[in-house]
Amino acid sequence: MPTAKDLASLSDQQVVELARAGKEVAYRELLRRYERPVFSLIYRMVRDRAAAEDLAQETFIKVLNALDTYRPEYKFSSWIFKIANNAAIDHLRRRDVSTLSLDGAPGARTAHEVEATALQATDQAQTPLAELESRELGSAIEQAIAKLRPEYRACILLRHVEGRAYEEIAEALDLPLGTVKTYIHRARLELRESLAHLKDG
Amino acid sequence: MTDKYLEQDELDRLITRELSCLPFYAPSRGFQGRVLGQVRRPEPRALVAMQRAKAWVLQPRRALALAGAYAACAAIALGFAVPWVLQQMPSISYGAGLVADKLVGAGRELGLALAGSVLTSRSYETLRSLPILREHAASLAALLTVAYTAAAVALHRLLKSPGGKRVLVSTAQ
Repeated sequence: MPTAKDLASLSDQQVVELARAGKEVAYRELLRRYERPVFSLIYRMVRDRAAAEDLAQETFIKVLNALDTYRPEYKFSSWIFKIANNAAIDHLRRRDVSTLSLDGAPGARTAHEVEATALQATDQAQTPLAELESRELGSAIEQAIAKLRPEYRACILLRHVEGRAYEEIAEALDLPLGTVKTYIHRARLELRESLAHLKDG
Repeated sequence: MTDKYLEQDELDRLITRELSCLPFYAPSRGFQGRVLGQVRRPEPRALVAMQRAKAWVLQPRRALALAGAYAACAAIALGFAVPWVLQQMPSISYGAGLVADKLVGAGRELGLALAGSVLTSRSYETLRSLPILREHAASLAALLTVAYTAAAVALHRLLKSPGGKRVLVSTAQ
């Protein structure tokens, strides 16, 4: 019976094999590896914490229930990001939410809704001053990302936040490699325009 | 112009650095439990295979198929056994003859002993003088089997309850 510690050194494909054999610890390991990246991607796409939770949950349930259909020649991360991205895009189409400020969803009317839809980072381990500076810049970046088209946003997040290769992004988003490169280039141009004022300051 | 490019280059580097430093967000506590609560985990393969085999065997059509497969196996086995038996026929028939002679002899002695206690001395002597060979014994056994079967069928017909309506028989006067 493998423990969580044993699984940490295994590749995604090996962990998936164990999960297919019914090992609960393997399911937990896949969740441990991908809950934050997947949730972060969805959260930055939809900008609504409750919706992001629901969509991330839906993504994991879909993926873990369909492990038998997973083909090991593809990267597991591409597969899960593809499902997460599709869920987020579908949600955005349904809700018609494409851009949003850090202070809450545009549809948020009450104080509770504003609070629920405001971005809340949980992973910061910096000094207070660095954190303040970083938060200012980080907030500006987050705001600039929020203004991007969903397709550009998914590409730039997967490339620069998740650190995925262009090929993997193309696979995950079902886009030609050239299109991915173009989207990332345009996204960077738009980010540069949005953040130009920082340079002046 | 050069300054502008330098500024852009610097801004690009800044954006790249800041993008890579953006924090990961975590879902709320209990997320794993909520997900795992809705995931159907497969049972161990050996158990699944055993359950499937059991379910397969328990179905009438499957049982029939199983019986067919068994019959096919038996036929294949016979296909190998019959030629072997035919090949070994001389030795088998010699051994079978010996056993049959012994059995017929024992049967004859038993029959005569029974006849000796039932028949008169003259009838017993007549019976004793009859030459009973193995071939006769086989015919006799076949005759006895046919007679026994005929008697059983006749008895079954005779003792069969009458068909038609059930008639209530009242014994009360």
